Amino acid sequence: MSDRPARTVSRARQLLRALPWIAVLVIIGTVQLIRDAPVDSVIFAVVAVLIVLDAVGVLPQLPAMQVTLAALVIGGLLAAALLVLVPRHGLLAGIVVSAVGLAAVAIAWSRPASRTRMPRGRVLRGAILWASITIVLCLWELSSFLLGRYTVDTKIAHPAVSDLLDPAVDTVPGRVVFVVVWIAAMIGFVRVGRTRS
Amino acid sequence: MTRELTIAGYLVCLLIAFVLVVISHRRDAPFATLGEVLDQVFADRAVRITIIVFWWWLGWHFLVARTVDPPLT
Repeated sequence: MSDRPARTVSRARQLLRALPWIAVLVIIGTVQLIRDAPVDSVIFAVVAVLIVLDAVGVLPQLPAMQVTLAALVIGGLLAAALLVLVPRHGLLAGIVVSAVGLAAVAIAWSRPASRTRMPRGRVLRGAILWASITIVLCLWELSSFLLGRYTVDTKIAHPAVSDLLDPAVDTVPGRVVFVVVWIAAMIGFVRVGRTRS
Repeated sequence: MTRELTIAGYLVCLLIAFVLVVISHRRDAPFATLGEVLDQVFADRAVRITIIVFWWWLGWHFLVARTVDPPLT
């Protein structure tokens, strides 16, 4: 007997479960369009489409990549050093940041799509609290961006996070802190949840 | 005054996040740590790819692309 109906239901469930995250990507991509950053918008749109295609089972499963923590740390340190040394907003910075992103997404994507259960108890309460504070922060940032985008005066009155952090990242100590936090979190994101998938 | 209020909003969010970290690491914490939450939700590919891509974009935004948007007028 064919298992096609069961597979169709399973894929429909997977798509349903991915929908909130696809919506997040679409919203972020739309904000990039509003701020006249079409390249950033296209990046989020492409990822949203890939997640839809993956959920409906069109994309092939990548072979699982086994990358050790030592390899991630060595690669991360190398990338961090380059990002501190090369000029900000330059071609080399673009190449290094793109390489970090492609590597992180490839490793994360190569892990099998899991059949996770809904979080319960302590984890569910934690997820609700962390999601709530993240959403509040994003809404505050979005409202500041929208209110501040018209004139120099409104921009001073309603600074976005980028406006506040940009001068710090422009200094060497500030860039070191930013790059180290960015790379360290990326290594953590690539490794977290491996035991469950 | 509006600028201070806007910045205070960001700082309040940071403060709440710090309080959540401290409480969640207590032995009798009523909710899981951020690490425990991520460990569970990252088992789902859509979640981990979305969060990793967003985090990657922060690096792109601050190190490569235009970070500060000019005012419209």
